[in-house]
Amino acid sequence: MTDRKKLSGFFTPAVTVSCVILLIVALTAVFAPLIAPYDPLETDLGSTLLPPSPSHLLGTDQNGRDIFSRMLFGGRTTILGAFGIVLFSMAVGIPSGLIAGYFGGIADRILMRVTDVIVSFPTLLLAFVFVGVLGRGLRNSVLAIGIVYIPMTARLTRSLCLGEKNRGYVEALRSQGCPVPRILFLQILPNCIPTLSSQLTLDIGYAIIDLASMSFIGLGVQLPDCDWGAMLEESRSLIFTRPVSALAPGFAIAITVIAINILSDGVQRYLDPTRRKLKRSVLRHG
Amino acid sequence: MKRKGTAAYIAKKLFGFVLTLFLVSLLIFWLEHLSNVDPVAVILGGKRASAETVAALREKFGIDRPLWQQYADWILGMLRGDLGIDFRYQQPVWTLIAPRLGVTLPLIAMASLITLAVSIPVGVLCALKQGSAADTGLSAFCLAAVSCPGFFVSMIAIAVLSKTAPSIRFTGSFSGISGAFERLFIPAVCIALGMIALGARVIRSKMITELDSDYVLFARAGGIPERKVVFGKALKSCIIPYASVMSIQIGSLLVGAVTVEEVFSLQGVGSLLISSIQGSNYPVTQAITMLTVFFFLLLTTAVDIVIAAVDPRVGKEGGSLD
Repeated sequence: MTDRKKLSGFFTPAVTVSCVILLIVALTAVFAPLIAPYDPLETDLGSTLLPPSPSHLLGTDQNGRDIFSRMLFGGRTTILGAFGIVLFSMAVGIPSGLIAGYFGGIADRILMRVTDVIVSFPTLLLAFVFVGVLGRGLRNSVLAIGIVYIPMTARLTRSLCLGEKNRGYVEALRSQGCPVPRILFLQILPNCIPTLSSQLTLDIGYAIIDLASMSFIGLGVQLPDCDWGAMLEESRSLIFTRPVSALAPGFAIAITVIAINILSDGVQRYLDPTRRKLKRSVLRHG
Repeated sequence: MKRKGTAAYIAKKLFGFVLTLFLVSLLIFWLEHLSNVDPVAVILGGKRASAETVAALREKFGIDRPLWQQYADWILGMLRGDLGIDFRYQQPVWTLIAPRLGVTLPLIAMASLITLAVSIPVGVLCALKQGSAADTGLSAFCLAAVSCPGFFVSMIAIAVLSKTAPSIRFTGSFSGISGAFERLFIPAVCIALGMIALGARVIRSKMITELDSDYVLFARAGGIPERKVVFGKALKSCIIPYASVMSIQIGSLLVGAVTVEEVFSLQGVGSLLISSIQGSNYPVTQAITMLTVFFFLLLTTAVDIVIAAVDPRVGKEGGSLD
């Protein structure tokens, strides 16, 4: 009963709409091969630059490819890439944050110094440098941006762990001889998840924008594959003649990220109405 | 007592600034040497060369020397203002970067001024009229603006302005102050939009908390005019988190403006970095990376120090910002 009551508090109109939008984005990404009316890579030089019509919802591009089909597949790349970035930053950031927070001392000093170095780079700059070393492409861009995202996750986890480690239940477990990994991952981590989840939701939004920027610059997804960022770059020449089709991938990015922002806010408010949101930019130097 | 704490805090910040710059230089140098691209191949640019030529090139660019010596040469050169010679054109790196700074720095300056001029009034207005139609509208606009990548905003601007104001030029070179203003104004607005939104959100949320606090209640009860309470007292506390957020945003722009510069065909620092990354032109990549990090750290550290100087809470035991 109380659970249901609480949940209805979570689903405000804005959050509900956002969830529906994100569900649609996720479903179209997963089922892109089934929904897309055309092969996103198939060029047809007999039907280039067609205007939107029932058979080509957003028309075709310079190479006769169906823009709507490319949007569906591009969304797939963008969403999967963004998840990859955040998952990677979690896989490294959460364990190191827990260890640094729990043990303190030298482990903590090393983590803080390493993260200090990483956050002294503007986000995109470091990703550019890593891609310069690793080579261009989607996988390397995901890895590069993922590395840049580690400090935020690690520092947040560390600060949450610092708050937990002196509480009674941790002391009780320690006195019983509970193994440290068990305390860290099965006892402390679950208590950090509420705050982490709101921040990580927000990070997916940032990851979408950063990955799209990498592709837009030409360091991310390589031809003939595409994501929303690369599609915008390709369609720059169409902007005067066919602005709607040219800008469609950008609207997809904007709508998805707005929905993610609203969802993250909703999670935050639902979990703790009194705590103020941790701004990513503040956190970077926090 | 307070002075001592503040001085120690500032000293710690300055030490951190130097140490971080040193570690960053190590990281940049090490990363470039991890990649398996042979610098000589880049210098030759695909041309065939005899063994003697290769050896001569290796000597000229110092690639034959031990790694630690290469690092020492590089970092000492940087400190003297010598950024080295690039692989592709074999020119001093500085002559490649200088004209790019002439584009990017005015762009950053304009975008920053626009941001400061707009975001503070918008944030204060939203906080004062919390819940009103103006607040809802502006807040929704801010949410949309922080969610749009800068290059997308730029493309919308071009699509709209090319229809409504066809006289505006979006390409080509420019000269002089008025030329720069004309050519850079719209890109600057596109860059500023996201920062305005972020800044206004910071001011709004902080202002709402401040207006709800005891000292504001006390000031109001004491009969201080509302205008003075808002702008003289509450806004002061809002400026501190605002300044930290903005220093990070503005500090990122040297390279961060690259997507917007790309859309408006501006030859800025960012596009030089991208082309040097794609061409494995390490001296240029390293120089721009170092400059950008220096600019970024300088700005954020300076803001931290100014805050410490004006805010008695910083540097004290238990005193912190948020």
